[in-house]
Amino acid sequence: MRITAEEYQATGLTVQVVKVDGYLDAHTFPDLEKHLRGFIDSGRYHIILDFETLDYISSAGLGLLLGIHRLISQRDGRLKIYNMSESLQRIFEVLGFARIIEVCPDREAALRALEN
Amino acid sequence: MAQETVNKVGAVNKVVVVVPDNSGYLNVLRQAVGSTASLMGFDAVTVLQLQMAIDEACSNVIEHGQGADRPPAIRLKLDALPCKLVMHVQDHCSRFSPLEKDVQTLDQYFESSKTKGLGLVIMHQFVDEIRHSYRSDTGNRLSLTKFLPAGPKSPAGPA
Repeated sequence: MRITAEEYQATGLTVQVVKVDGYLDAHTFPDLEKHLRGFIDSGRYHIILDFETLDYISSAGLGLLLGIHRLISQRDGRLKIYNMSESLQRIFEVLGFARIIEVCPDREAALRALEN
Repeated sequence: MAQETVNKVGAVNKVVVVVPDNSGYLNVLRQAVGSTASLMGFDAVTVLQLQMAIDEACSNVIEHGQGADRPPAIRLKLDALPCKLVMHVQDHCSRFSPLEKDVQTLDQYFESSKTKGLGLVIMHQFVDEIRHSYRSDTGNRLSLTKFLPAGPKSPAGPA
């Protein structure tokens, strides 16, 4: 798994855009967790995940997303996802994650969702 | 890791993959399931669901597998039958049956403050049958079955 982070600033908002490449499972999720917790620990509570090149996510990865969502929600932050494949999006819907974490079609929509 | 592929043994395609009992090899097991299920004609979402189910079954082995008196390994055997895919996970760890664990509903999972416990939900939700057996000489055997949706279909073997 490869993780690329980019900082984006909008009016009064600093957003961390994180691109995740590969697969997110019991073996790889600690890497992403370390990155995301690092942002939270340094006060960056608005995070967008770019899943364009994410091929797979297991329950360990889904659990991480839920935990991070809860953590930043407690700090008035938000977590959004965009560019998710149709198959992964279907899994997200079937398991009920889509009603907890918003999945946006593209980066602009994810940024708009954060700003609103 | 050892991999053996037997194409078209009678009406059955069998794929056997043996990997070390280590989460770094989960992707190898998922690839075997993904390729086999795709060849059988399962749609992309179902293929992903089957990969998730086998991932959870094998992650359980890695997490709970202790007490083995043989080198720790997971053996995945896939039986591609005309109407169903049967995925057998075998390990030599101490007895562990996921069927004896309480399965939460998705609502209970989201209401709980925990982020673990989704694996069992996934297994139960994404396959049609789950069976477990244990023998002192051969260890745990967990069998997950998924039926093809549109009746009997000949399994397609690799070209």
